[in-house]
Amino acid sequence: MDDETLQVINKIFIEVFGDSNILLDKTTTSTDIDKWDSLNNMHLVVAIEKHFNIKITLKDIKSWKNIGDLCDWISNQS
Amino acid sequence: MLFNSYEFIFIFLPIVLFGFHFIGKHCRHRFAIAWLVGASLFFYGWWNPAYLGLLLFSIVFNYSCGTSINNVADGKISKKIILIIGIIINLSVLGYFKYANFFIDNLNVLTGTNIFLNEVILPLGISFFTFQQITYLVDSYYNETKEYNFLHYCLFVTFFPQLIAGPIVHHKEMLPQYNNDSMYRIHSKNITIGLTIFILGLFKKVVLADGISVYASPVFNAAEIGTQLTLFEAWVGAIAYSFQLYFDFSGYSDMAIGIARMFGVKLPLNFNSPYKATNISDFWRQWHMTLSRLIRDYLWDPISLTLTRHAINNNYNAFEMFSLTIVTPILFSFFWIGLWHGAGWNFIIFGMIHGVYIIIHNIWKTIFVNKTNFRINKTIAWLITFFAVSISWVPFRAESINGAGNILAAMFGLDGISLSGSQLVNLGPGFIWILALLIIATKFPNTIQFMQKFQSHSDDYNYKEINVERSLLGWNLTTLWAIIIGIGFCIAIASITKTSEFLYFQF
Repeated sequence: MDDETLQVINKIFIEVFGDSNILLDKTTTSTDIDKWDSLNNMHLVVAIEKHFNIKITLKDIKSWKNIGDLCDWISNQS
Repeated sequence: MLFNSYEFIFIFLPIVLFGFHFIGKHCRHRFAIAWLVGASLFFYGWWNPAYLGLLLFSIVFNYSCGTSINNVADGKISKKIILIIGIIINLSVLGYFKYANFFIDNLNVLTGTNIFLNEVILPLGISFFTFQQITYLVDSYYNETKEYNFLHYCLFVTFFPQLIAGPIVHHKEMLPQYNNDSMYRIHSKNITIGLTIFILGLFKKVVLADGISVYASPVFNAAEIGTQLTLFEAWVGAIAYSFQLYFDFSGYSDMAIGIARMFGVKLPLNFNSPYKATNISDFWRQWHMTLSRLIRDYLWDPISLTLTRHAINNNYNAFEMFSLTIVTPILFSFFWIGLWHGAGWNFIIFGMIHGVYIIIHNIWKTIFVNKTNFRINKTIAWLITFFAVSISWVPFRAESINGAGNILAAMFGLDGISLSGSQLVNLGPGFIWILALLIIATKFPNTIQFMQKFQSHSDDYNYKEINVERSLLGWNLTTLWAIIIGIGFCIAIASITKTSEFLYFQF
């Protein structure tokens, strides 16, 4: 997993949640971030879709256990 | 046959358990599975043999759909068509048995017609086995179901501990367990742990839930026939019902989890101390969790993704965004949660109340918590959540909208604030019961915490959102605990004096 993807994802999280204190690493999950719940989960997903110009399916989302999985998945798309 | 009956505890369960482990040891595993399927069908048929046919039809139909979906290559239109037909037929059957009378009644009111339909008897557990199989079809569509043994499939649907009132399980969390050899070997630890969890559940049901029900039922019954209630009566009735429902349903779930464990099967957690929740979203993460995850995964997520994509791609402003991506899917999901519980406006109102609660909580979070980091005192937050939930149980429990209205009016002092005693229930002992169950529900460890040293539930991919705090008080394989649980069992057995159905059977 490259750090660049992680940084981009971190920036998207900061924008979506309006919280500049968010610092992600590859083991981060939704339990680690207070504001991240199933209500706003899709805002993140669509923001990521838009940024990387990709389409994400529900099955993809389910396959990610943490931020590391998400970054790996994105890296494999290109 | 009820879990809280002598014939189940002393005849059915021991015979089925012994038979299963005996066959599992001496014969091929598939015979042990067949024994369990047969026992489960007997268990279901005990209530009304006529509906065994419906259950069997449902199994054969969905199994055929699932294997057909799996045989078609990805991306082919026929794969989607089979899925859609499968879902439509499942929903039609459910619609007929559960909602036909409700639909006709409303149609008659709306159009002034006088269509008559004989009262359709609701088959036990139809919502549970229908939804469980719809998720199976969807999972097959997404290639998440790996194994297609018909006998295993039958057990996945009929497994008697969770057939009638859940926990609602996924194909992918059950079938791998049936393929594990250790399920067919008798482990004394499994029997001990299972029996302990079963007794905890039995105690919750027959001692606690049935015990407090005498302070709830008379109030709801009186409200139904239009008796004017006093402020205290209404509150005691409503709060007593909140505890009755919790101990009834979580007790049932514990019994299901305990029985399954005796057969070497782990079921998912269904309750995680919901009345400890300090906001309404947490409440839904901790109450009937297998229904919440089903709604989230199969209803909320697809709708939320589609609407969010639409809103972001069209550059909606903040208000439009909120309305489309939060309010709409919440109200839609909770409408179905309400209707899932029963064919009546009461249940729809219950669902809508919770939808509105979640929206309010979301606005609160957006404005205060996320922007200013302001948080209200935990006790106040808990009080608001608990009372909000208790109020929502009123339409849930009441048989009619009028009945619910009568109780709510009295609760909010619309019938005058009289501090007089009650003709309906004994208020003093009622308060003591409420206080005792309040302490148990909020201060005691729940089953998963109590059994923390012995993984009591299946590992679930969705548990990442679940936070189970470690508890100081935990069960262990000691003589002292054996005695305590044994005493609990004796008290529970002595308390089974009358037939008392589980509240969730009607759903």
